[in-house]
Amino acid sequence: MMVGEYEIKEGLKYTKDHEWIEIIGDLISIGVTDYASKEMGDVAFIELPSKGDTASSGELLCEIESVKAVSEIISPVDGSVEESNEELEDLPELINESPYDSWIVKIKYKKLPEGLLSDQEYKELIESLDQ
Amino acid sequence: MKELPLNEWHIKYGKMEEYAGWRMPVWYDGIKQEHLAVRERVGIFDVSHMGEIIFSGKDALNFLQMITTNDISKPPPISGTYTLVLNERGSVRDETLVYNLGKDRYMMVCDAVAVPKLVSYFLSLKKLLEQFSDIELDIVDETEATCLFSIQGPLAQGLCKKIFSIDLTDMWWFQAKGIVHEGIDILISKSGYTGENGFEIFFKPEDNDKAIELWELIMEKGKNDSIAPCGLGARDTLRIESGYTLYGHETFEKQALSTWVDEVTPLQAGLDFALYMDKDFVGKEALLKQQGEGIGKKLAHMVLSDKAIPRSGDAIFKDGKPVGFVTSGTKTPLLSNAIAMGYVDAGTKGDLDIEVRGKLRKAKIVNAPFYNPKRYGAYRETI
Repeated sequence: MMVGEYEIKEGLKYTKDHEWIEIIGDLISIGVTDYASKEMGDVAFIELPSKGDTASSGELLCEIESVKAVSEIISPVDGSVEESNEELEDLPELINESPYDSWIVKIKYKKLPEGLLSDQEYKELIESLDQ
Repeated sequence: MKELPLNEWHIKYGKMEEYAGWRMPVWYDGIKQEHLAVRERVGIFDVSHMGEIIFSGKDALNFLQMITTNDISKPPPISGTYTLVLNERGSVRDETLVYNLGKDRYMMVCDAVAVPKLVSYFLSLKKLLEQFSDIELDIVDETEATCLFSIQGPLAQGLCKKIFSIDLTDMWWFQAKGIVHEGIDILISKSGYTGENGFEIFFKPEDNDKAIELWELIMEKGKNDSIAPCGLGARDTLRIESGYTLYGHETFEKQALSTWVDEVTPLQAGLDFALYMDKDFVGKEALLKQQGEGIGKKLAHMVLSDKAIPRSGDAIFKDGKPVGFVTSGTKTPLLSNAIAMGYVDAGTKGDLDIEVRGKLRKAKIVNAPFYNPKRYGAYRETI
């Protein structure tokens, strides 16, 4: 579904920090939303975490660098990094081209996070920002 | 916040942000596409926020010669000179272009962020002079009344010819021609800030619609060349890739928020070409003193060994010792790794480390421009 020029993919969970989250068994996959990718502009570089790195809820997971500024990816859960999308190291622009296909990191979580937004709730958040 | 005459157009197609008190377009389709459009075809920038200060009267030339560093007496009307305004300590107050418009009229084009302080500085000097003599000098800030569109790229010349039916071949840099287009006086100058061949179009529209009409005409005529509207984002990546300094980054004077070093002189910024030492000007004594004592730090251009972008203030090390700091950094679509400009101890050569977000990254000092000048820029071998 679309809010103005921003796409919101149905069926995913979202955070207030404009990350999308897909729960796959004992892993969660994290990426940035279309809104976030359009706000940060052309992504130039991403510094990915390594397998086994500790993820702590509310703490910095990795940084995405656009030509203009650095954006932080905040971990929504406690756990450990299972995998990083290394394709993004060479092709960071995929984050702009198709943000919902470009997962950034997969985390093996200890406990599913609470307070995630549904697609509908995230849509309302974007609507409130887009005015 | 001040708004450009094309504000509505920019809001419709671009992402807006505040810069120097103006609501400005940062990008439309994306910095990368816009950057490439200028290097490969043609792009247009609305830089109407830039300052235009008009000096007129029989004492205008002498006044400008005293307050700026270069010799502006030589270029005939209508053409411009790149020249610097310094403070009494020899540090850069702004980088400007001064156009000789003829009949004792001169137009200083300066950075938007510097307009208020420059105007107040010039007017206070004028007031001082008036205490002692009958000087004939008018200083008028025409920034808000003046539009400035910048058409840049290898196809810019052909496009301008098509739009304005005027021959622009054989013009020298900063030479300008005055034309009347649809009843509006337009000044077309061969200049820009991208490293490419390009033209800047100055005019004073009677209303916003007139400005939009001209912009849309250029967009329409540029369709076949796939002209791209470009924002401040691409303007910055293009000027860094060309190795050009920008006031507020590579050149600056003491400000409330100063960090690292307090200010830099043109000798440190590598702008010696804009210093005409056979005349007197504000700041000259300080430069002579610095020449004698040594310049300390000097501007360097650096390429990193990865894509992490150094930001203003990041520390630079040589063999583990701090030698300087970054003033601008970016990553451009032509280059696989990040690039930066910054000040390092004079004489520093070769390999360095730059601390980007807590990690040391390898870098080396290179010559500007960062792009291959045989393939890109105004002096490319093939189009």
